[in-house]
Amino acid sequence: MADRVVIVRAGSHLVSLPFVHIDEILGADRIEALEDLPDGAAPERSNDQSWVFSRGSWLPVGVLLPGTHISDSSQIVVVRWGNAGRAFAVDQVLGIEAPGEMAAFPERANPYTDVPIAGIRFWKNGPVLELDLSRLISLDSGS
Amino acid sequence: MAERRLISFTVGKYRFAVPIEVVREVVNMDSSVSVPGGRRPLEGILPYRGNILLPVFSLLDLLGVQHDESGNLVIVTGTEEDPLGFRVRNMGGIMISGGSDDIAPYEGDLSLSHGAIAGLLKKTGGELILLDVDRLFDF
Repeated sequence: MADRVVIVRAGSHLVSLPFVHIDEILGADRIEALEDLPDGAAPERSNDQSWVFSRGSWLPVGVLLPGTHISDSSQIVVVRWGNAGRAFAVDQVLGIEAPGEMAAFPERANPYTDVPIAGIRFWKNGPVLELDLSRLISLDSGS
Repeated sequence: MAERRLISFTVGKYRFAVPIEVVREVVNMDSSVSVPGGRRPLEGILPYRGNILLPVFSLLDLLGVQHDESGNLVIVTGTEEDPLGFRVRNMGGIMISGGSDDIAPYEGDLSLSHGAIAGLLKKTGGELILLDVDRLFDF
């Protein structure tokens, strides 16, 4: 059976994220501003302005792709990779699917984008970008 | 020097020629995918043969000129395992070059970075910029 992925829309792109690493999908109403965090929440990154509480910890909310924005209609995808967790705002979660085999992103293109793209799958005859979660989370963590 | 077969094409206001053996094929850009956060000279990626994605670059950006060329054709070069492409407006034709006799040094406004411009080919009907594709993509 093909790997299942969560397919989301972020701006003009469709993006897939491995289902096994998706912890939760939340509404934008769960976002808290930094100044509204409860005492003792002690977020690890004090520069982040938007936070969600997921499975016992506060996670910073970022956008999944550059050029996209967090809005009242955003959905928040909580991603876990090892012990690290991050929350990413997307425009819409489209479904959980098992699309075809992934074509690897060409190495020659890697120097020209900061988005960690693992490759492309096709779903309903359209391209879906698959992100490399390990790099996505390490980049988002600034490490 | 032996005769060479060249293929010509235009990008923006420039006419170019490359040895025909470096051209794997010419495809259209219709099914290209934009790369989020992508930076020039990368223009996008294109599903290619089987499970291979083709990175498509802007030729003029590689030669130091920013432009908004919207040509819909892509010349595919490189190897079967590592193909790459650059976008062109129109294909010209196939011609024979008689060797080095009709090639002059290029002195125009394009960058000579990495020796990617081999010279200016003077043919009946105009001049063409002769590219060394291996050096063009030597990055």
